[in-house]
Amino acid sequence: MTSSSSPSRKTLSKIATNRLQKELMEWQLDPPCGFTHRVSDNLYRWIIDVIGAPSTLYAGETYQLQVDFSDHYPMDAPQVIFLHPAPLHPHIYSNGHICLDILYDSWSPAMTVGSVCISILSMLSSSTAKQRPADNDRYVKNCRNGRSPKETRWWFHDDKV
Amino acid sequence: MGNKLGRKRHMVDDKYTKPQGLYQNNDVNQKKLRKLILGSKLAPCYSGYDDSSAVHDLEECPICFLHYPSLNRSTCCMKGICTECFLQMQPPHSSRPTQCPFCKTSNYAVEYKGMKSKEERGKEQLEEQRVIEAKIRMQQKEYQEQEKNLQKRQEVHPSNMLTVPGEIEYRDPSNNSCSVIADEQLDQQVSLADIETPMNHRNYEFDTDLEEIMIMEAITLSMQEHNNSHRDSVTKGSASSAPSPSEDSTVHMMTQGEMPSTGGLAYGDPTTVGVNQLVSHGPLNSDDVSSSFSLTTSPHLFCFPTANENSVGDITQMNWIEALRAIDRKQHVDDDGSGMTEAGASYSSSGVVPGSIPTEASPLHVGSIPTEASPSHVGASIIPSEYFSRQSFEEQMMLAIALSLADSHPSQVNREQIGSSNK
Repeated sequence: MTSSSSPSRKTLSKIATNRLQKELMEWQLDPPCGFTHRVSDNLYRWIIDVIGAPSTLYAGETYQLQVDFSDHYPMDAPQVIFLHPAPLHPHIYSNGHICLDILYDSWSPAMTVGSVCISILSMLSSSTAKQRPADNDRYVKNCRNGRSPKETRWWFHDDKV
Repeated sequence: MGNKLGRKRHMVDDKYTKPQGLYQNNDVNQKKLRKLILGSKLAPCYSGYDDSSAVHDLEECPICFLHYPSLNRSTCCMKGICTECFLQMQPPHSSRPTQCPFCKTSNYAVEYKGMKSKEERGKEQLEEQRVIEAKIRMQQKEYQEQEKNLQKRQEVHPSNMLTVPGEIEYRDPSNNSCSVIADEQLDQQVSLADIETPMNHRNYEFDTDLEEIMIMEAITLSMQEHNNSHRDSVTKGSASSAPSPSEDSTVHMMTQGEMPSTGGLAYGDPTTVGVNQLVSHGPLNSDDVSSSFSLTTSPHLFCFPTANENSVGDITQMNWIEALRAIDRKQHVDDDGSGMTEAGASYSSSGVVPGSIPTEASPLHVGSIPTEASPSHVGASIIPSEYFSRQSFEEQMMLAIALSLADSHPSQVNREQIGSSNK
């Protein structure tokens, strides 16, 4: 058992760093359409502009996603929220939390920031009504202490939107 | 035991039989791991390279993005994964069966087949190329939509009928056709499993196939230039430049091109041609784009996946793969007699998997097998390859012509329409 003691936090963040650097590089070479990554020196927090897809309810509107990565990325899902103002959507709470399974239970390390972004845009695009989730007020109140959406036990009930 | 092709158990250096410390929580049975690596059941734990240029023929692990001489493959979807990432995927004390991180099949398992063969790499290259082409098309489509919007604002007349389907298609995130395809595919998977395909044969044929496509692209580009300079006489001009296309085959190709609008997913060599046509147009008249799009591309390829449907990492790629398979089948039916085997058979027949694939895996097997989804011509073992490749080359030529005809026709009509409405 020589190797289990030596890998420290440093090597662990090395894999996250390495992956994020490569993802960023790929993003810059070939950004997913409808998204702009705001340049920053913080590799572990990406701010991404999302432009609503044409001929959808959100056409021409721009929103901001904040993606935070832990040291355990990609084994751990990133925390993805909309910055204020969050788009009006049946699965997006007014505090920016997004009810989307791939961000929580269904996360797979094979996913990337790009693929997550596309899923979110797809979710926006398929919306038929600009409205908040039914339990918005209750949920937002429960999150007042700055709870991460990753701590929420989500219940994914609607597979239509 | 399960090792095919007479691959010898080569000795693995002892230091590669344990994790290199890529991850912190290596709660693994080191003895068992060592045994599996020495028995060639798992890839050795080499330290990954940061970039692929350092050493030749490295594969990138899609989880850690490091490059390795060889990777394990998931039994369900053949995706590669390095041993250390794989160990992270299977928490040893978890009660739930692990899902494949790529295709979400439960009871995730991997096998190790050594380094990738030349043909596997070639297939991947081809697939990558197609994804790139798809991206180009998407950009074109977007550009076209913008143009259209501009046009709509400028003129109120609903002069361009062709824009309507395009818009609807873009909005429709339909998955119905996908599931149908999956069902069909399942049937085929079973039946194809019995067909044996000699390895080296496939290898050879694949090479010619790739070459064909490249040549086709070059030809289409030059044809397009030619067409542009003779816009008015396109109909007859380009038809006569073909290597004696029979009436039948032209029609046949047209139907293939139109398939997307009726049948759902479709993609294959035909669209390869389509891309080049679009690209070579230069500054695009939006009418041109919409007309060629309605012929060459599938509406469903542009829709995003529904968010909550357990989408995996490379969603777009999966769509393409399914699309590829759709056209595979189409051609399979069409060239009746020549396309005996599909590439899908190659893996099942190669004999590494026996017994190790859980039966539950096979339905999901279907939706997302990247390496298996390869051009339709790969597998035909009965027809002499020379004949076969030449035939498909001709087919492609004809398709190119058919497409350019189709391209020029509607756009001319449109121009007239616009012209009259402007009056």
